[in-house]
Amino acid sequence: MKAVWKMHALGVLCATVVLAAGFLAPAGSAPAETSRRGGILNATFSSDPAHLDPHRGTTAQNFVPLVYNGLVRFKTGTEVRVDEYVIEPDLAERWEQPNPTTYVFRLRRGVRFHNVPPVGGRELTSDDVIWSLERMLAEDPENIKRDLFSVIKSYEAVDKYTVRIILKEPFAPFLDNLATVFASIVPRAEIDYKRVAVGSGPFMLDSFTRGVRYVYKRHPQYYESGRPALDEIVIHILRDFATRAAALRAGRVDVVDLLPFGQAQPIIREGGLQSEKYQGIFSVHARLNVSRPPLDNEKVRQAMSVALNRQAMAIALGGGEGVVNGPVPTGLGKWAVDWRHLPFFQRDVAKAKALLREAGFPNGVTVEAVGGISPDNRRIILEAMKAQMAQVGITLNFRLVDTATVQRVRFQKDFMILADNFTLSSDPDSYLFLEYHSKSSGNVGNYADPEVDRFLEAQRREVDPAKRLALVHQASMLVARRGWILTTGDPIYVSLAHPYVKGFRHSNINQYLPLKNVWVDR
Amino acid sequence: MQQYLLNRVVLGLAALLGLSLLAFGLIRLVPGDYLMAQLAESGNVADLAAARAQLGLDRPFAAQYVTWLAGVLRGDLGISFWSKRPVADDLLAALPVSLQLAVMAMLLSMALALPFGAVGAARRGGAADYAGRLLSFGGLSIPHFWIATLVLLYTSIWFRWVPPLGYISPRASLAQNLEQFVIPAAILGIHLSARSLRLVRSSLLDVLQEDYVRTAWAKGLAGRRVLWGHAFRNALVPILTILGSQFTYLLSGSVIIEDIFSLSGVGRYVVESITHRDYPAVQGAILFTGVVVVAINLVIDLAYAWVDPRIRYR
Repeated sequence: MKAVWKMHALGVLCATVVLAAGFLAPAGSAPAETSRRGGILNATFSSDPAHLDPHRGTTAQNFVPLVYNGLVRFKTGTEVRVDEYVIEPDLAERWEQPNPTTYVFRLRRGVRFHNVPPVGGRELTSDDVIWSLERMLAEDPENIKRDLFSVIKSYEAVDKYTVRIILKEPFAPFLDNLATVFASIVPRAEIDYKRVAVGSGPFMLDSFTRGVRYVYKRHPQYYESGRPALDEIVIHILRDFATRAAALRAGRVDVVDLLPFGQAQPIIREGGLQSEKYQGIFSVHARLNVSRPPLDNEKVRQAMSVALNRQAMAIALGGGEGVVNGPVPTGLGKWAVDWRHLPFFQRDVAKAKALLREAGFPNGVTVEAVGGISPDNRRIILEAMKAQMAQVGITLNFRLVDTATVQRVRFQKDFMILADNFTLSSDPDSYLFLEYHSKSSGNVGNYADPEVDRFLEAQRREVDPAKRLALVHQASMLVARRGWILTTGDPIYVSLAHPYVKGFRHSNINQYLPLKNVWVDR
Repeated sequence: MQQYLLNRVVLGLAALLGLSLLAFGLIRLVPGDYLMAQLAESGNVADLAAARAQLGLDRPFAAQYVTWLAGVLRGDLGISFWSKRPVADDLLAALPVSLQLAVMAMLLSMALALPFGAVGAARRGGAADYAGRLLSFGGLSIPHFWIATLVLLYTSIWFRWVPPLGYISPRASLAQNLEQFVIPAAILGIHLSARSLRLVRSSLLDVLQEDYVRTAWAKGLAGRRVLWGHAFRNALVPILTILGSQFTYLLSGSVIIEDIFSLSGVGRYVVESITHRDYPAVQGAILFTGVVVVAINLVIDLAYAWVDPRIRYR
């Protein structure tokens, strides 16, 4: 990756367009370069996982994609853009869909698990897939991603290398969900999956010290020829940003990813490192609880929406460069509607005041908000909202609390406005159905509208990509009009690496999966 | 002496019992709990009840407390909700880091505070006194985490060097271990020496006014002998007291320095446990810190008699 994408400030209004153009630019790595075997790569992450089980909780998701494979996966590498999410075969070398609710996966032959007890490098078969599906669908309070797969009606091993899965109804995001780390295929064995990670992935988790480092060694029998190139990957737990930056400068780590633009900029200016910008899909926002007056009044919510200067907020979030997000984040590429076409998204002070008057609040309203003290983006958007809404007569008081309190507030729906970000997903269904459908467990703002429900159900059942795209866009317009969740934006993120690191490109879904493509040329 | 020791141990145990109750109760009063943090994403209230039952959190407070305390008496601090590992194992893993940092910082702190404080008291108003007071004011007024950030920033920019990442035990590599600890220990040591230096100086100034010191001077003893042989030992009692409190502070309170230098010590463990509302981990860590405080205070009390033979224990 010799070239460095450099997008200069071309004005706030065209930031999104410029960014899209940037992603369409040729990938940085020279095609003629061939990967070199060997070497150690040092990377960082900000916190430990609670445990290593991919089917329980979510904290293992950044630590085990290198260890496990799925039936399918997202394509990673310098040949794919960050904002495209291409499903490719992984353990299933191919699959058929004889009807909209049936998938038949044909497994690769000769895929070996890591050669460690109790699995001992045996071959992966359909029995392991069945075992993994059982775990993914288990009625366990810790299985918080069960909803991703609850559409599965039945599954069976047709033979040693074939698995059939039947869905309750057509479900467009199914393959995307199967590509997440939560659908990792684990070996059927007497293993405490929380403590031991044994998979068939490109790297074996060799050792780890909590709060310090996780050491991965190359899986010598990995099924992909020539992969991985690296002998070892060490992920250091560095919570402090200044420490990560200093460690990168000093060469203690080779790559640092997911830095907001403002934090990366000074390091880029120092020179000597390669950098790449991209859009994330966190999408910081304010959820309104419509069971709390005056937020039960649609015109009040619309007034709040048009009171916002989302461009300014996105730039503040990014420390200089940011992108405005609609209901579906711009980082999701084609699925996102350009925010300038969304209703009530352009700042209009007069319109906001008029809407408040129409709602019966000519003297303005007072609302209360809560947000987590960490990450800092909650504070940034709440401060901006407070200042911008004050100009139209809305008084916003907010308080910042710790993470556990935020979770309590969300769980008990004990808020008027909650500053938050979305769960990461490559599929728009997660940003729409999960958040807005009246029956969804993720709908914490008490949103209920039969028309919206119909669109949300239709888009997830529609298997024709073009028709589904239209439905997703229509649903986005509709929920923007309702003003239920005031989406703001995301920073432009940057990955930084030393010049000898080759083949790295960030993935929005599996942050460390791209490391399997990396090689070093020191 | 034996009676005194027995009294102190009994009092210490009573304090620890009270502390255990406080630690157990207070963390439960903090809004939000581990399960909500874990299950908020699923939004399933039925799951919440099931998970509570799984962890025994549906039982009455007293029953939970007695079960936990019985475990503690058997040497079992419980299993962390978050990491699913024994709390004792996690604490033992974090302890060497905090212990080494605390010991190195204390040694450095004393290496600065004793000579500067003593010379400052003996030659009040002299150049060494001013240098010591400057060091003291600087150490007290400049936040140590700010210095730590600057040191890390500028060593990385100017020398393309930062200490090795993560804890490396001295058995694995003494050189790398020292390379890792020298800077954080120096920053903490200088910070702590500021307070100690002022205390050494003021204690010595008091003692130097005593009659027996005047007598020593009158006998014609050398200045060094008067200072270190007669005055210094008598000035040590308040210094020992502050040493004890500094050590316990360092053991669990150097969280920011641990974060900046990526050292995973007891302080960081406590903060992370509180963030996750990991009750067993918080209770275990607080109780462990309490045991250390009680033990250190006992040692310091006993050391008073060694420093000043006039002190009698009854």
